[in-house]
Amino acid sequence: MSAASAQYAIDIDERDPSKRAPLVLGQDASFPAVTDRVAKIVEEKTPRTWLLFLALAVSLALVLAGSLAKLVWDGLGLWGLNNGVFWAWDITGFVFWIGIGHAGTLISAILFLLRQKWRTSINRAAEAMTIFAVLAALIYPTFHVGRVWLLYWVFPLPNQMSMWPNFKSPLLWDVFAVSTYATVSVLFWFVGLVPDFATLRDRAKTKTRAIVYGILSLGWRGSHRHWLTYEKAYLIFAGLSTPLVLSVHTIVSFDFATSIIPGWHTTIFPPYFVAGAVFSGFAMVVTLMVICRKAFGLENLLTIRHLENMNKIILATGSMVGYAYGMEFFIAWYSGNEYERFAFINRAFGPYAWAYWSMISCNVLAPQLFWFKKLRRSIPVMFAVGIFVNIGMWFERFVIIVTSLHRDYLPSSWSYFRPSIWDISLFVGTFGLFFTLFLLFVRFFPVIAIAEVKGVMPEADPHHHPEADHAATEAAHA
Amino acid sequence: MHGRYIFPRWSNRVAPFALVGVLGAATTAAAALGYYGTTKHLEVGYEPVQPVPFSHKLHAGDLGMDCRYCHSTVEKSAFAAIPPTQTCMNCHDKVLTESVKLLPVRESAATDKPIPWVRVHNLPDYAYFDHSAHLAAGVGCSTCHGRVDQMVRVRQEQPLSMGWCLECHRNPGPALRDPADITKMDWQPDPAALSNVSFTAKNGRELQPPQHCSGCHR
Amino acid sequence: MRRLPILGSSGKQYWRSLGELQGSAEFEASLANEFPEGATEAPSGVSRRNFLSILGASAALATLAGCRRPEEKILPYAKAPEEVIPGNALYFATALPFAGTALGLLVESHEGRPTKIEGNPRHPDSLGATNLYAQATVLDLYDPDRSQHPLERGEKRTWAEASTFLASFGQGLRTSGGKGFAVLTGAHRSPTLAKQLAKLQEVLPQAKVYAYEPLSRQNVREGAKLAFGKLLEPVRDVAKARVIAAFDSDFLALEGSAIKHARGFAETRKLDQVQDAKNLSRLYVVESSMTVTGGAADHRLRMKSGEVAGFVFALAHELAQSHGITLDGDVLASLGAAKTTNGDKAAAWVKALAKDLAANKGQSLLLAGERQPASVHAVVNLLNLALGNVGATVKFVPAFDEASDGPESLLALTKAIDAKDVETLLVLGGNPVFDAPADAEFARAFGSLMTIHVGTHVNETAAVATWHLNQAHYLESWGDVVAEDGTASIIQPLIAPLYGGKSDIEVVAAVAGIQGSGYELVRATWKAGLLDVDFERKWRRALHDGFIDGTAHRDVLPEASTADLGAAIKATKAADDGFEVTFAPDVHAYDGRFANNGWLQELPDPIYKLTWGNAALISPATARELNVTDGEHVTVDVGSGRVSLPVIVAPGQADRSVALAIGQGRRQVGRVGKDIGVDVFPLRTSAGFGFVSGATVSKGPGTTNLPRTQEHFQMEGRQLVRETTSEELLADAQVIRKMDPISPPLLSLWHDWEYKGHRWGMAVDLSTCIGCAVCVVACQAENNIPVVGPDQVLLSREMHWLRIDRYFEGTQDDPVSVSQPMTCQHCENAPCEQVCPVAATTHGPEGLNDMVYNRCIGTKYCGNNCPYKVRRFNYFNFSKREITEQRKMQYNPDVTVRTRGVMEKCSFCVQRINEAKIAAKREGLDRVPTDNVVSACAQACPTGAITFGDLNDPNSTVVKKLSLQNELGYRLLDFLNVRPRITYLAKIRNLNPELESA
Repeated sequence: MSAASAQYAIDIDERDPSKRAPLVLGQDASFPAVTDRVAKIVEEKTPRTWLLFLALAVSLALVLAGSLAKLVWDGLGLWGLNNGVFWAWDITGFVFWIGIGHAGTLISAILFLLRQKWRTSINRAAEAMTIFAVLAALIYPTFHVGRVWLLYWVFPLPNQMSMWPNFKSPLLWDVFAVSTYATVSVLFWFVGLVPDFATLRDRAKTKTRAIVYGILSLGWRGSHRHWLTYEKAYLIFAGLSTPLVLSVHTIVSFDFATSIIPGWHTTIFPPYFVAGAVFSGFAMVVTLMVICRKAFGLENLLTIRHLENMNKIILATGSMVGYAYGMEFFIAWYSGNEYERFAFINRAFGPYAWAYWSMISCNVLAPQLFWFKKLRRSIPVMFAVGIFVNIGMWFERFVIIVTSLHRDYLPSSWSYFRPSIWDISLFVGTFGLFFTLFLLFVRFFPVIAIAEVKGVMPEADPHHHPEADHAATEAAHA
Repeated sequence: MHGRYIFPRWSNRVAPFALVGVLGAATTAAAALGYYGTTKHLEVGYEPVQPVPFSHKLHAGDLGMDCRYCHSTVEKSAFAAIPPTQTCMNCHDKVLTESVKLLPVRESAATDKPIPWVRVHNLPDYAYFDHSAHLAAGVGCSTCHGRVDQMVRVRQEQPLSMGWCLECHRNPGPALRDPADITKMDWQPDPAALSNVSFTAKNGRELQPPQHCSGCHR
Repeated sequence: MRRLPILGSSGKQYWRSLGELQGSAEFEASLANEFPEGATEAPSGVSRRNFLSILGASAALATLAGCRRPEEKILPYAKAPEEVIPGNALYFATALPFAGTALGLLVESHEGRPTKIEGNPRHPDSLGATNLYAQATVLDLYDPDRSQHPLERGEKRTWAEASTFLASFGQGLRTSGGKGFAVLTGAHRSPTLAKQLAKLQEVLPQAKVYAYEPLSRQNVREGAKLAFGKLLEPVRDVAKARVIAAFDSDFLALEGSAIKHARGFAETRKLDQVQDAKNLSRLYVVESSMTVTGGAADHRLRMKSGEVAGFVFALAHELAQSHGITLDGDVLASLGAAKTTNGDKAAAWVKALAKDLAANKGQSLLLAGERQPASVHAVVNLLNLALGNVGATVKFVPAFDEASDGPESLLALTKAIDAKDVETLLVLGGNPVFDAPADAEFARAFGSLMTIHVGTHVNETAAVATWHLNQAHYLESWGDVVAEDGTASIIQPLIAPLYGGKSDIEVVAAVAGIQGSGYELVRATWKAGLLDVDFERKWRRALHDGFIDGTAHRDVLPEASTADLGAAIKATKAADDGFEVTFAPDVHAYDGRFANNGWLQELPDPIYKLTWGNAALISPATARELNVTDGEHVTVDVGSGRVSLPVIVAPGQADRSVALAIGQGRRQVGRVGKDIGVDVFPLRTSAGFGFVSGATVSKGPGTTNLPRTQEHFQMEGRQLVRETTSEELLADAQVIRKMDPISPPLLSLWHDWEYKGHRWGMAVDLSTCIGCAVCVVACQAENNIPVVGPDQVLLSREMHWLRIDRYFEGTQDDPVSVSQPMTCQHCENAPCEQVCPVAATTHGPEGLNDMVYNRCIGTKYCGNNCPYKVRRFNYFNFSKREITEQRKMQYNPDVTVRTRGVMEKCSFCVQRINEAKIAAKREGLDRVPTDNVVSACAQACPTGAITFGDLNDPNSTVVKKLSLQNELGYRLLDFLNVRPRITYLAKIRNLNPELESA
């Protein structure tokens, strides 16, 4: 069945199933209104609350800086790691953030190719979130090495040792996968921003604004030629990003899947990790969007329907993840391999059972609420579930990494990992970095893709009949 | 759209130029580092002043003394040890007994305190180079140390970098000579040998110059 | 300051507390100078010219001069000593006096620095192997906390002043005829010292000589006297025994010539073909707490040490009654009266054991533990005699001297002091103020005297002595020592005294007014003795060989003379059913003398894997009774004293018997031993010297986190240590093979490499491995492995490349135990190599899994992917934190000292392999000659359980060792297709069918 008919299932009007529901509601449902609504956020004078949150975020970011300095100065012994559990909160945090950084590109690339119009009001913020999450993620692989000042050895640079890096190592694949993903995401995001920057430039009241946004908009004039090139470029980037969305987390999962440690050596990991990433990514988007639309009065652009659609995806991916959990156990039992079996029994009933069951309840149980339309459309519920899912997904990575390592083949070398204060401070710090960047973004960049939203509004349709459209708007109001 | 332009016309060309400029700068920087950042440029030519102005040119060159007279352990040990003061005094208690330049030597001999020579050829402590193994294979002094017999003050001739070591370990042929000529300073590799890869010492022994890590790193 | 924690206050506990360690982590270490110098610098404060003129290559790193790189100085010898070729090690023979015998040693020396201790293959009590303590003595030599100058009432004195004092002191004594003067020695076995003491008593007729040893072997000697009427010492030849019965005796690890015993035991457990399983020896062990010997037993019966006497008497009685062993009537009667067997199991044991012994007359061996009363030793001796073992499996030789070194002698000394018969006391070594029996009140008496203490450390005794004279280490001084069987060795110094110390011989001579250096005195002894004819040649030979040929005693054939035995048997206390406390040497500190030795303190004890300190071992049942768990404290009260310490719930411990290790909890000790463990001497009285019954034990306040390196002792039903019985093996040679897990055909992603040249590999024979852990210390000494301290061990960050895994099977109360040496398996298809992003760990053409520290960036991925978890990560700058100028001198210059942030692991002693290969190249050979390479662990192993060599060389020991690999050999986790290079040979037990149920 075609993409178009597929999306009826999502975008259908409640009153009249034959009609597609509008994505912009109320008095905002006109081109100038949309522009004003979004541009206002950037143009109005700095809100107090925003400053307050920024201060909070920045201070957390400073905690990050402090923890890193201390770490480099003293050594990895600061963390709780030991002989056996050589990775714990560090790689957990890495996979956690990379996972979150999945929704953005998925929304902007895959949904774009699938012609999912409802993506337009969320993709901008989602992409920004992606980029910031990837930045936060990169901190971990960088600083979890014993001698960070030699990290450049992982890049294939010519050197007097005539040594190449080891291209067999999944860790090296990570280096390439993540850096590619980061680069493409940034470019994709920026291309999308250009017309909106131009809008801000043209509305600019002060010279500095005019200059800054002028530079950022790369001399955009909105000519047909520009639009033509823009659309091409955007499509190409969407094409480029789509495989990357899948490849990044697939390759991240190889770090574990290609090893020989029971609980890591699992062929189901690539799809399971990608699903999990989308899952956590959307959860984070929902969490942030719920706040944004309230804070900046974007209810008419970021409609309940947008959120509901995302919640449906959360429900779907959440169930996939749940299926993967179950399948892991089945295979462990079915393999007849005593070590595999033990690894999973130990997960569920060993010393880290508490982590496992918090993971299950957050990731598998919580999203099931979304089977009910009422809950799916309830702001508080989706906010809570979003938070739970993110907690759960952090635990998923912790469970995979630590419970597999702390009890592997030889009981003599079994140990128990306890995080140190520095494990915690570093993780908290990454949130500081993430939110600092995100707050700056919402204040100075157009949070919603103005141009694209307009593109999906009825007015954009050459055969646009205001009164027909009006009816639908009425409907949505009720 | 407002008609007022805030950017001058030339700014249209800024973007492409900037792009080219940045790329250019980056590549130049990388190339420069790759070229000047190596031991070839940091080490070769190192020629420190020694506490005693001992001239290898005079002793090894003009007087034609064999290297092993002083560096006596070179065939038995990893180190080509710096000779004890004794060795100097074997001659210099008869020759130039009054020389001011030799004062530190005579002092050392008298007080039994060592002469603090400055090290010229210095490998990192994690690289375990062994002189005796190389001599046994037929690699001569001049191959790595250059024409010491022409140096008044010893200077480093070769980069002694890992890459440089490996070149030879991958094809020792050109560096191999008849064990009799080990200390022959003017020895030249025979041009034929330069091209073809050979792992056979001149005394017929099959060589296995290590190319794996633990060959040099322990 | 931080670089050299020995300086200033920052040195205090510099590598033990987290706070300190954060201070000392060194980020500024520039890349160029990342790895500390392997060779040494001239140690400051060491006034020795040789060290100021160290070899050409060892350079003292000057401060960063000039922009291009730090300028290094080369300090050649001014006058080159003979034989020294910079860069090539020299080996010298010497001997270590230890536990009533001597270990012949070969000591590796780099440019005048002893760096590694090896056994002397030709010495009867070393046989080329070593024990824990011999390995660790080299670290003691360089202990920065050693006593570095004489002290008078705590004031620094020069040796000049000390010598003048000694001279005048001796002068004074000689005028008074030595009235009120006494000497207190340890249990020494030095002919020269004995001679000096004799001379001393000649010139000072009224002087007294006392001897005291906290781990006295007096009961053994007394036992011989009771049985044979004269002081004799047993010399066992375990290799000749088919049935061995040890009663509370850890003869494989800690008692007497343990190395010789272990080697002999291994001889009786070797299999060259399956049929050999018929003639394996059978080891019965009756003991209160699990020892290395108990761990190696075929049958182990746990009972209180106090019940052992009754059991032995019962056994003797049974042998006499039902197996026609003739014993003196009175003895038999008293045996009948004194015998007790607690429970049916013990009774069954008596029957079965007696039967087995009687069936193996002349090739059985009974041993009693040194802490068992003389009567038990006497009965054991009689049984050995009656069973025709004397002359076969056990010989008797004359005791070294008549001196009694038991607790009684200290009681006598205190009495004499209180009676003012002794007013001045010379203490030669030892630490009586710390380790005297509590009831002797020696510390009090000692304080009231004018005292001179000679010792290597300022210990509790030195601290309160009037004079303390810093003693020279045995690697610094001339001496001699006689081994158990009488074989004499010359102790020759490898280095001049670092702090100008003197040996006990020299001090005694000085007091006696005898002229001459230690060297001259030792030579004099032997010139007068055996070596008189053609002295110089024989002397050089003795120094070269490490022992003096033909000094071994001819064994005396004793006859039973049991006049006092009956009474002694009757007098032997039987155990009550209250709590019992037993005392044993601490694995780490021995009797306290090694408390400041980092290698030993961090060595996991062979059974319960405790590092850094001691604990009370109690059985699981007793733990339930007292309601305590691991680490919780119990208060042990024996009436005369009480001590509170943490417990370890110890499978295999006898119920209501509390095992305590002496020697920890030192009060006056260096940085390393400070605040480590608990002192249990307050509980130890002359009456209850080995063990004491009637103690009260209760749960006390407080808990301690015990730094143990293994927490999980069950095998979880995995085929990690494979074992079978001789019967099963004889029935089916493939029984071990059949334990292989079913696995699909193993395919590899990579092409197989053809190993044309050498193929280094290792075989570990689990039948002969007793888990004594000597290999662990040997590895640490050879490979510059840092000590990390209890805090880091608690975080399971110990750095040992080689560990010994211990597993318990069977019931928790009465388990069977196995040990398995575990180190890098050098997998041919190594999972660690494939995951390293920078190729810092790769495979060599001879099958070594190379670890390149200087390439490692520390992602730790390899460690995660290692199924054996043998990789060790430098979480902090561990080696930097323990470096002192002295410590540097011990470092093996052939092994890189690792810095912070890199992974490390067993290298199969690649430095030794390369050395051998280069030597071969020098001689124009294409291959290393057979068995020219031996790894440090294999070399130190007393039983030869670990063998290393070239698997491509059909004549090599390791290939011979693997002759049975198709039947007994298996590779750990083989199903992973990692293809380990270490082959384990399954453990074979030789069970007595009659006891199998038991």
